[in-house]
Amino acid sequence: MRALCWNGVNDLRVETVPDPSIVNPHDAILRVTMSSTCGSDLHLIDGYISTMRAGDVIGHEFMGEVVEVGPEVKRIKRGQRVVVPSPVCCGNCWYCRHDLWSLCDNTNPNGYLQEQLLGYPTAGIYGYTHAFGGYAGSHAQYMRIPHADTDCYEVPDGLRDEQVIFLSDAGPTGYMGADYCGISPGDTVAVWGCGGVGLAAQKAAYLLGAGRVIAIDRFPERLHMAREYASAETIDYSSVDSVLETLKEMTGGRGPDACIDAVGMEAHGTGLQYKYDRMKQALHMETDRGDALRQAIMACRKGGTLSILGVYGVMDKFPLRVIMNKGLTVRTSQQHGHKYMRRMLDHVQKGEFDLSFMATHKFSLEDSPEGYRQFKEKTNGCVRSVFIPEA
Amino acid sequence: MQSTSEYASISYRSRGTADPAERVLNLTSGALLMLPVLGKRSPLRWTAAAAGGALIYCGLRGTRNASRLIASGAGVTSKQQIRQSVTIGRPASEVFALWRNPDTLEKVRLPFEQLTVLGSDHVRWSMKLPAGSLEIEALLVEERPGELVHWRSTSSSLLQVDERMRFRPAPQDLGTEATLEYEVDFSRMPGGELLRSLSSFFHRAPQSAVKKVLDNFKSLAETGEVPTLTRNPSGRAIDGNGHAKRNWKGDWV
Repeated sequence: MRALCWNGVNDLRVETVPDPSIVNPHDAILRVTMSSTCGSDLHLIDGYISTMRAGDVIGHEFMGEVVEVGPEVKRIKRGQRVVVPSPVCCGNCWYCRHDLWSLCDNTNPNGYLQEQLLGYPTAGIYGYTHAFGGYAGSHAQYMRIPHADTDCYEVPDGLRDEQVIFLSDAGPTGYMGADYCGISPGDTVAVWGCGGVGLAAQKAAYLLGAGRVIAIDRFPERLHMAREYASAETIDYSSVDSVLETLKEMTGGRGPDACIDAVGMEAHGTGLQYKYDRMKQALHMETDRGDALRQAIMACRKGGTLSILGVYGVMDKFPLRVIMNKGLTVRTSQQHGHKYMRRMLDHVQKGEFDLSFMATHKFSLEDSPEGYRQFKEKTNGCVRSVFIPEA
Repeated sequence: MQSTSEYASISYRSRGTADPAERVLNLTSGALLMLPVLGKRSPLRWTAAAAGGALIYCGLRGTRNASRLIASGAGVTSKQQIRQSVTIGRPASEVFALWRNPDTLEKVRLPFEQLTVLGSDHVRWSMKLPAGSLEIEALLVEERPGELVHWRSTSSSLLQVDERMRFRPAPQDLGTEATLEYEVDFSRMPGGELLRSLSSFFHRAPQSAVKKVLDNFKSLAETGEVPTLTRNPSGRAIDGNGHAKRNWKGDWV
């Protein structure tokens, strides 16, 4: 089959690789009908996340049609159209049973290696480094899905691929981020980043009762999307002297009740602090540029909640003092998509959580390196490039 | 969950002199380190040559300074203990029965291991080495249902290994705590003292290998399968001409 392989920093090529096959009894084989880029892919393409190997198939946001099932697969049938969350989950361990799906104990074949980095291993994630399991990713014609009965969710009739694909990753990440905010009716939630995850978080915050959502970014077309599709008020951080002062002014000096970071380790910023981070990152003295996260910590009201969805590695100048003295609650994790999937599908059917507007650019799988280029450079208002393998 | 024990109380104290295998290794690696400086001289090559000279000195004198340096002082006993624990969300009786099932040994082993079941209380374990292979035959010496399974290598094995799997109930509804413990005695192997030192130096490798077996066992107990990258598609499976490699088995985990 054809698949998009990572061959080194900023070296993506579409290659012919072996087809996947049923290996374990709970496996299914999926024919990928649509697969999406994600901001976290850029961190590994750019070389800021380790444990990639030349030849790895990347991609972790996808949907497709089940074409083969293993002997122990009971619920999922051949021919079903399904969407699959990015983490691979067994459904049986303590973490899965407690709705902490991305912490699954039983799906990371390289858990004993990841343990050296994190203390304890997490679930595997498709196409997302060998520390996270090394599973082949979704930018391919076919994929092997372990624990298919647990991880495949049938798509209700009448929904288009574009409406459903982002429930694989960006949707649940944003939804979980808003859920982590513990929103009381009428709360003000500020969201740093208007990419796929940020936009999903903004929509979810309203669904969960926020009275007001404020979105922060610098790209006019993304800020437009936040206003148009997520009904958010917006701040272009590159055109104000201080995001902190702007937020204070907008909230009567109180600050947002909750702040969501949907940016991560390659944040852009302004001023000396940004240049300092950029230089240290280039010299590999830290992996993270933390401008957005530091702003969110500073801007959050006293006793508020900080919800971190961005992906981070190692950061210095992390203002724990601010978190401690203001008594902030910090919530974060890789997305627990299984917890939210049925709820999200219900919202989509009611027209309340339609993220199809994020699929701004479509490419065939053969053109996926160009899709990543446009996604990375945000060409022509690109929010997400999606790939259609057989187009 | 992770713990290592280097018991100072173990009475085995290695000799102050190296065995022949260690001496040969010291001499050859010393010579290899000295060679580059004969071609082109640089501060780095001079440093390597100096280290090579020291190794040759150790080899000629028959001292164990090199392996002691590698082991940072830990390799003074010829026995090493490796111990890892995991909590399995199943009752102890079930977990015990699964561990004693002969099929389980095959399913949870590491890719470089070969296991042959010779009987319900007799197995042969082997591992291919760059030259030859390492084989250990082991007999079941004790089992207490729901609590302990203890294997010990036969007296003919060069590497003496004691393997104990202990089970005890976990708190709340968490199931069973399983601890897998190895005591490995290198003293009868040729070059065993050096191997012992290397094993201490690469401390995490033996710990991780034991943890991987435990992780596999936990997954098998909780889900009925072991997570794997067998036949995992990747560009590594294709040769330079774009053809699938005939011996491609997937990624090694």
